[in-house]
Amino acid sequence: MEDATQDHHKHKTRKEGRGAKEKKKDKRQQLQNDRVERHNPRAFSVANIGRTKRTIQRNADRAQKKEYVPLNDRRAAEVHETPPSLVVVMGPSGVGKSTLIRSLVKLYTNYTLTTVTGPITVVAGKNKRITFMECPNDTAAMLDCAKIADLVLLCVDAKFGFEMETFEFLNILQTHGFPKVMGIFTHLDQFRTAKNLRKTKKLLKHRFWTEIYDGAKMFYFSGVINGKYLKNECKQLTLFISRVKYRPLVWRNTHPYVLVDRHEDVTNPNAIEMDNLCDRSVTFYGYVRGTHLKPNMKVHVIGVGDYIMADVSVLPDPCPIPDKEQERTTLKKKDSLLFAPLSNVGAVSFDKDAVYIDIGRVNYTKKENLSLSSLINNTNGTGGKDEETDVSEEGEYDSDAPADVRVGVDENMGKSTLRIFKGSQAVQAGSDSSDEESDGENESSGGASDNLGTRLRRKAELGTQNESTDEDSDGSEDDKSSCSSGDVPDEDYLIGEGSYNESSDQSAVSASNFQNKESGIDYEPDGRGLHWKSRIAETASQSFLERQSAHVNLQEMIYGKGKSSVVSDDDMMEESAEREGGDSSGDDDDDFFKLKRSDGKRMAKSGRTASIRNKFVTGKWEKSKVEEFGEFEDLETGEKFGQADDYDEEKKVDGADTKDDDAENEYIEALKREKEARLARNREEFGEEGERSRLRHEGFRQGLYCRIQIDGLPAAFFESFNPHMPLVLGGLTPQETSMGLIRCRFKKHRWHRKILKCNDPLVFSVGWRRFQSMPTFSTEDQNGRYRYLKYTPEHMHCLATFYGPQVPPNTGILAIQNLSGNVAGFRIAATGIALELDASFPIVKKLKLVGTPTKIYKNTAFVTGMFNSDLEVSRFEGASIKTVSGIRGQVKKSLREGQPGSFRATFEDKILLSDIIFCRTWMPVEIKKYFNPVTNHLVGNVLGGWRGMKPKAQLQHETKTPIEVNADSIYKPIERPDRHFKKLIVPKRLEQALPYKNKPKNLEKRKKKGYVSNRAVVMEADERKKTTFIQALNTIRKEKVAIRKAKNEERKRDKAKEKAKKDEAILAIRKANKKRQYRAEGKRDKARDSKRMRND
Amino acid sequence: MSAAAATTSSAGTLRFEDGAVQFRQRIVVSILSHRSLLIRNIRAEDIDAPGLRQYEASFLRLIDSMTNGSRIEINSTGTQLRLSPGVLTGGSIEHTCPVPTQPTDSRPDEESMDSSRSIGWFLEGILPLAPFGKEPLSVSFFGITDGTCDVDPTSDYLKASALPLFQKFGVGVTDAEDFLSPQAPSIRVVRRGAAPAGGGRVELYSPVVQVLQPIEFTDPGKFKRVRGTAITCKIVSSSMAARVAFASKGLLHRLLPDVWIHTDAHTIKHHKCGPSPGLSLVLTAESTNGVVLTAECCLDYRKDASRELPEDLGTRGSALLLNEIRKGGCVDTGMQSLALLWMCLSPEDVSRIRVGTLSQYAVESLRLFKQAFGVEFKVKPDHATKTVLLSCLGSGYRNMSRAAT
Repeated sequence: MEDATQDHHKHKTRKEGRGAKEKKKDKRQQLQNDRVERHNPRAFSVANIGRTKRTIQRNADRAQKKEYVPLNDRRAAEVHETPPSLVVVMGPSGVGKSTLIRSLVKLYTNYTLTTVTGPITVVAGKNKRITFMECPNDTAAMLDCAKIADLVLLCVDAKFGFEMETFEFLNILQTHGFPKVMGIFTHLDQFRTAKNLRKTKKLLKHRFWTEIYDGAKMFYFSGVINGKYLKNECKQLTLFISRVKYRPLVWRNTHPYVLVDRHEDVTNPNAIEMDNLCDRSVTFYGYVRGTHLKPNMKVHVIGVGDYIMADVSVLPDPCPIPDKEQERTTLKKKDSLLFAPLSNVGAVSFDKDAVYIDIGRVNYTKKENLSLSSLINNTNGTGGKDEETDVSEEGEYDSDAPADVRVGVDENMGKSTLRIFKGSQAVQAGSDSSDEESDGENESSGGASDNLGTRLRRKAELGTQNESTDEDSDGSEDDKSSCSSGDVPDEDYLIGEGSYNESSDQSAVSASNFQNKESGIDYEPDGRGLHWKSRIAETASQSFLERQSAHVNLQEMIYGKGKSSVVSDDDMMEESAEREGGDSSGDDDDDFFKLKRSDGKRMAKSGRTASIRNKFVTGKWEKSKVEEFGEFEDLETGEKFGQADDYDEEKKVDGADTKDDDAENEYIEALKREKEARLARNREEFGEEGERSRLRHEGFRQGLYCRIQIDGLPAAFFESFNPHMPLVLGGLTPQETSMGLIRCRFKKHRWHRKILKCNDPLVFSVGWRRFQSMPTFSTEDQNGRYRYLKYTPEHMHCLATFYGPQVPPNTGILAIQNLSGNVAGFRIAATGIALELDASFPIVKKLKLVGTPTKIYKNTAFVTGMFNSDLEVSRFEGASIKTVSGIRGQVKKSLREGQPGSFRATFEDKILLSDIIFCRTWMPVEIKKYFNPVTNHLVGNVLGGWRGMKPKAQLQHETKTPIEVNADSIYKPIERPDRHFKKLIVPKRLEQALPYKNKPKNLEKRKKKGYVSNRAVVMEADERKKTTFIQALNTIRKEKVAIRKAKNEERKRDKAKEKAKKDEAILAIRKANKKRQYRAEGKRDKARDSKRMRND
Repeated sequence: MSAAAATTSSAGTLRFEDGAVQFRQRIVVSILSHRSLLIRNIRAEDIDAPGLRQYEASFLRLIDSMTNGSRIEINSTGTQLRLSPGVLTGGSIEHTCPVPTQPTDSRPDEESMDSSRSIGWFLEGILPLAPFGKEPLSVSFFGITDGTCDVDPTSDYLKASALPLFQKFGVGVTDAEDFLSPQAPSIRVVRRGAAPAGGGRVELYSPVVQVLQPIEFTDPGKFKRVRGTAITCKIVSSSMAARVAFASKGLLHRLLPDVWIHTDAHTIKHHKCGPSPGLSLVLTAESTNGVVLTAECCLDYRKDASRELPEDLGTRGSALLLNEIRKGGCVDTGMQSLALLWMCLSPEDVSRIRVGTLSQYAVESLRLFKQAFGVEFKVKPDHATKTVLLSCLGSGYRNMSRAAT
């Protein structure tokens, strides 16, 4: 500072030792030009053993660091089974999110979107689909999007810089599992100088990288042409989007979810007419993502509530990946489909039993102009006359509607169906037998949703097939028990039931299949349809014969419709009468004393034992017999049986692989192999028996396009529906629907301005849900006690306990104080992680009971005022107490007389009557059971959206209520009056009797001075001399000191003056600095405000 | 309005109108699926003693002590039970199982026996819950340990057949190298007490797991050894046990040389057993693939029961074991429902198992699991071996009561 040229330590070259010698040698060689250059580093890699060892160690360490226990990835391996990857485009308003989506869609499908609303699915490549979702600038929507996104494109206005929303969203992502994030920086064309641009880019990049990770991908979009970004820049982005590898996230690995593409109101119109606010039945459409969606699962409609799915069914994929068979490396232009039902593209949508054509507006046309529509109607619909009359009443197709149709007319024709007979199966144009499967699904529960009350939309109803399946199910039920033999199910029996019914049909069909295999009769179940009548007698007789001969389908027997309570299959449970097995019989009470006794003599007969001889290692089981048991190894003899050849080969190949790897990797490799085997088993187990049985056992796997009906949604859902907001159905495991207390590790976000108060309502986002609850903060003491905290610590973790639906431990938790409203600061109040669930948690706070002694014996005292009754005292018998002065004691027993609640206590020493006695206790804190789901989809945007309970402080502020004060809690100045001790009075008589040494010696102050003071001092000559000398010395010294003091004063004054001058200068500089700073800040705020105003 | 719409509906209740059928299984399933349970018409037709029996009430008490926050409501006649399950806590619990009312009479009539069940009944009931608590579960039961194997499995039977299943599903798999690995599950008969007077003590210990492992359990392999114990309680002549063992071995030696049957004689001296006499036999067959099949039998202690010779008992026990082997399954008939339940609870992967004869109890259980968990098994009969292959996709159950650190 004081000196510009700072003197650093110089490097000291070694003058002796090995290093010096080497150096010298090297120098000499250099001088003589005979130095050998080692050009090939590999050749001398082990030249230095120490370094080689270090290198190897380092490489091994780095390799080990990269290893991780393989995450449990439940996403489908095959491309055709994966749902479109979900790309969420997020950013504050005005950064160009819609523009980005529009330009990407244009690039992918060559279609220009007019509005960007809701999920937009495009076929992006030969085996890739992408769903784009724009995240609106709303906290609730941000929470929802973060939970479902596979990839986030984080848009930032580079000219303006980062905004709070960006950081909030990143924080939300972090707590709910971090998907991939790529940054998009827009408005780069607004920079005037290249230098400024470069500087800003660098600045933004480093900020972005600290938030995500070093090297996170970023893209710079420099300008807009025709409302779209430059094609080249977009192309680069698409390249990276297609290359992204998604990470499996724990929550999505264990929960299914559906991002709703669109929804329909299927409530009975009459019911709505009767009561406009009646509960609605709604069907939601979307791809299943995550894990398997089970039909009887509860789903959480985010922002609405928990519902049981009334019906789930599979629809044909509206945006399919082109067929695999086509030998092309690139995507055909025709196959690059776009599916965006909420964005005004694709006027035709296929439902499970209808085709909807969106005509946009009501436009009545005359009957004679109906030629086009009636043509379509005939091909698509049932062709019933009543339908046609409906058409003319309801409203008609716009003449340019077909122009909007994204799918070619011929393809539509191909998919259209026609039912010829009532009750027969519909015939599909251009369908072959392989399509039969999916068709069946469409039809089977066809009648379920008759009369869908949709306005401005027409549906073409397809048929319901039931009679042919009736035959089968009837048959199988006959077999099983006598209960359903009499009643032949009529049409009502099958129509109008949910998926369960459907599956029972299926099982019936598969039952007949099974029987066919057994009996060897060639019977084609697919041959139903048009010709079913011609073969009815034949099939009936066949099925009768089968019933007589074949085995009963166990599956059907167990899960079938009319399952009888008594199941005794003669074939499978052969001789089951002889034993019921070791179980405690089906009916616990009735069979209590049923003896399970059989005579062992039967088994003892040698003929019976011979039959099971082969089940023992000693048996004669040769290779011929081996198929029966599969392959195995006899551990005792070491022999291997069955499939020996290929199994061994496989082993060898495996072994060769593993030998190459390091021994340390063996564990990881074994885990990976096990995982692979498990996945393969999952794929194979249910796949073989057709789609329906697969759905029955697995539920709806990911990638299927499903229609989910939910009953009982409030009418407000439709009134306040906003197509821009993401609508998500999240599957819940049964455990997550039950309520309980959740204890979580909790930390106030360091950017949040205030610390959080205990029992102030917070909006939590946990799992799929968002709800308001009241946390109780606590901390864990050394002894494991959970002590209540009034506020969260400033910079530390604490524990928060709140009431809400249970979530698995280790789930991320996010808390926000206020969802709605334009809050300037950072909105995320705290983050945490769920630790434990329970029905009660022991959180305690300190309570000091105070009492006063009334009577004191030696070490015993009677204390009152601590308790109110004898009962209370008896509860605290033996409790330790303490006086203020620190004397410890114990509560003994309550006193009969005196004030109720007074007790006898003993202390380690005698206490004073003036002492105050404390009893330190811990009082359990009640955790408030408040749970209020954030139902923002039911409230809409009226009155600023959803509003929950307000914190007390806000209410007090709004209602101008003064803060209530407990008078006892106010600190008052402590008055400690001086204690006046009485004089010790010794009675006269006693004083007289005392020995002299014990007598009080009270010498009073003399009033007169003694005679000594009046005497003059007469000194000797030399004495006087001495005194005068010393006086003189003292005088000199005093003079010196006085002079020094004066000088010091003067110097100090000068110095103060100088300092004041200096301070003034510094202050002036500081003032100028501050002024500049405030000015800049004000400018920035003003710009932000004006931007916000612009956007609002 | 909006708040009302959003509250979680209670539609998930499991309702049963058919009384005390599958009593323990339903309670267990209710707790595991977090769905409340309603059972109506519990012995409503029984005019003399309607409602829950004493042992059922005792089981409910046991469940109550194993959980936190459970609400159990029984109406005044005891014919209706409502249970809203809480969180499984685990920990150490002591439970006294009811014994017949007249312990002095060594042979009480059937009516008084109605009120009691052996420890095995309780043990079998809570085994499916054992690994899902907050902390490891250790229960000590007091009551009848032996002599009721005609109606209930004994603790020895459960020890032999259920504990291998625990290992198979990854519960308490110990690793010698990892000292942090959990202690293995165990069932220990501390003191024997035959029916009817009881007086025995059994200790169950089970560690907790986060998730079960899916199983692939389809190949029973070849049976290589048989082990067994002949147990006597308060029978003076210890030759009784030897006679049982001898007769039992006689049959088994025809098929296998590796047969060991121990004799285990308990007398009332030194408080080794309860006051009632009893004689029983437990046999275990183990295969090359780790399949363990178990059979047990005992003397009937009741008044009107026909006397059985120890030799007959031994042969009967062996025959039961051979019958179990003949069925060709990978689990005991009595353990089927436990295995199937845990298959339901495994992660969302396929689990497969081969059973010999699907017991009626297991069939009812399968229906219950479908109702409670929504898991439907694929049931495929294997005609070649006369066995049944069952497979399912697990429901992805996670032990949520266990705390994270």
